[in-house]
Amino acid sequence: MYRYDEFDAEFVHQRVAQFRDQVARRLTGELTEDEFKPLRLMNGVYLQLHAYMLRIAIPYGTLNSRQLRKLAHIARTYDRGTGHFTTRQNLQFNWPKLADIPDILGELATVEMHAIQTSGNCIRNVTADHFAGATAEEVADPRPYAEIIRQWSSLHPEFSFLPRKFKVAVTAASRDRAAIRVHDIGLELKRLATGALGFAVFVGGGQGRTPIIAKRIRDDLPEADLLSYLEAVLRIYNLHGRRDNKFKARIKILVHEIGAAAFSAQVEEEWQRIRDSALRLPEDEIRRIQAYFTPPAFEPQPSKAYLRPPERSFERWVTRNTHTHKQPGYAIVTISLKPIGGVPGDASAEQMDAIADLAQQYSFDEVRVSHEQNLVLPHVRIEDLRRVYAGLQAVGLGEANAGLVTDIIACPGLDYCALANARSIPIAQRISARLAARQDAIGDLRIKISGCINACGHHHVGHIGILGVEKRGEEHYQLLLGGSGAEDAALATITGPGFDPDGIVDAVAKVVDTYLSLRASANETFLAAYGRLGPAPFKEALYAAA
Amino acid sequence: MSKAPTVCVLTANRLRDGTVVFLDFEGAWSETLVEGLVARSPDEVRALRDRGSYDAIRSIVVDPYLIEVHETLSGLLPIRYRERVRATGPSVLDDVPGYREPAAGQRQGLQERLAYASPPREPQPVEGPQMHGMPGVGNPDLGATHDAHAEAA
Repeated sequence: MYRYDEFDAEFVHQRVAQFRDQVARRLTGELTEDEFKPLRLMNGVYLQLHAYMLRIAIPYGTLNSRQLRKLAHIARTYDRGTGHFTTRQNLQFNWPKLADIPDILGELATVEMHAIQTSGNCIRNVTADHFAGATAEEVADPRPYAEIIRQWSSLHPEFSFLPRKFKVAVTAASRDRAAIRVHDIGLELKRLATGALGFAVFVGGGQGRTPIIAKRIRDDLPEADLLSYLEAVLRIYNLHGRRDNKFKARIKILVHEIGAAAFSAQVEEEWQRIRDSALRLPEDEIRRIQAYFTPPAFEPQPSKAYLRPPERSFERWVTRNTHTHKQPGYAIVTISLKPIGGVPGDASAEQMDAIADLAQQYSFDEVRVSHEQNLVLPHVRIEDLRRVYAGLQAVGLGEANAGLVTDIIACPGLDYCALANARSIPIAQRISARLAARQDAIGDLRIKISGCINACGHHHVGHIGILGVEKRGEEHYQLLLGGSGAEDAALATITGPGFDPDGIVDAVAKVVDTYLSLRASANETFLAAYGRLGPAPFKEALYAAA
Repeated sequence: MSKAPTVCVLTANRLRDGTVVFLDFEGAWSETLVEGLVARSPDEVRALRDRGSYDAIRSIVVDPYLIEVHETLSGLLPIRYRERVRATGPSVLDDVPGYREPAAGQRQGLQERLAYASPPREPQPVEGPQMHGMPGVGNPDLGATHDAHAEAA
């Protein structure tokens, strides 16, 4: 993985020293909150419902064991023993004291981590397919390009005060695990007609209060032109994006209002002007960054697995939580952070330490964070799977539910977030407990829950989406069906009147029961059945008796 | 201009650690709502608001604001659900069937499980059906070509 160079290290340490001074001046009153707030946000420090929150960037979701152990140490020393992995492949601590945060950032700097650009109207943490560099489905590892974008966008002077925040996602597989079509810019690394690597570029996707699927504005961007083209897109957005209305300031609104063709034409004109500038990526620089992502030294493995004696729980886990690796004899392992009835995305310090141990011993020291709020061991020998499974079970992380109905995405919601209108976590816990016994029979079904219209829980692209709102001071939940954040991206539609906290759990169960009773076969997924049946039978089940 | 609430309490976050605090009837910032100082008239509301602004300027608290409350026999109850959660802390459920609170000291258990789980020294290649009852597994080397997520959206 990428290692800091001298510039990176010096810069991050300087930033920690600056913030230490800023916090000290805030605590003595030398800085007012109005003066301090933009400074703390630039360092990932929010004031949430109950306490400060520190959001730490995990570029393209890649961690090593040393970094994960550091996060565990911080959770144990400065927080309440838990970290929360988010849908942005970041990690949030929900209880840090302001006075401790400079020390936390200092600790992070020792393992090449920081919280810079995890807030504010800038280019945020670049996300990527969490199976990158391991899956047989990709044309190449997309992470070197994500790293190039990270370096280009870090403290970019022209793009530090955009109309609104800006999110970039990268994948190199036709199966989209990075949700690139609901990002401001989505990049699909692909083989061009020439046989060379290049990109399909999607622009103007996003969720929030105005969900829009991104438009493909270029299908053949050469590798060397990546940064010049991104710069052109950002320039057009920076120039024409609205600054008069926060709710209409994202690039998706601009692309929607002027049309993808007009937007693309403006980008093209700007791009032609700067294409042959210093932004053209030199071949040797691409290869230099790629060298940081050289595949591990895989060893030849037997072509068949050694998994006896069979054990039902292990079999279930292998079925659900392992995935095809590009290297014969190896598997990708999804570590579910969704224990039945647990808090989606939470990991205790002990669990993080245990995963770090397993990564070091069995996965070439690599861990990934998925936008689905799970962790991934990308390179595990098949013959080590039983040991990995046992290690995960020992710390309560052996749930065999990746992609099942209990593998729920949920934002922190009203339990932590100052913006939320309703709770997400307890709803997820109750749905998980309610449907756990039937999850294998139900099959692939993604439930995504947001506690407010900002849609951090991706409810717009859930097969079943839940949106929490406030109604006369109380929590109320809207139910949405039929969304997808994958390559068949689609926005879910609201079923009808909403539900109270008890009612929404019953409503989800009714939707699942309806699906099970009407699916053509056990192989017809919920999304396929919904596409065939439409919303009518689900609405009837939900509202007919009312 | 929004109408000022007539029965309300002053709340804020403590600057140093972000803890939720309420101004109590002794004029101190308390971590519980129980002894919150209730304003029942426009003048009392104004006094609370001024006190919040003053303590924010003195860098004792951050973001002071008023919350509407009901005065019940069992104590003060915020009217908005948001404020009830804020006053009592996260409502994360700890009694959901199947939920296990991650406990400290489990790493030793991990090592024990790792030792226990070691495969036999001379494992036998799996022949025929790799695992009974499995509809398919993620890795072709495990005996099937079906990825667990192949049928997902």
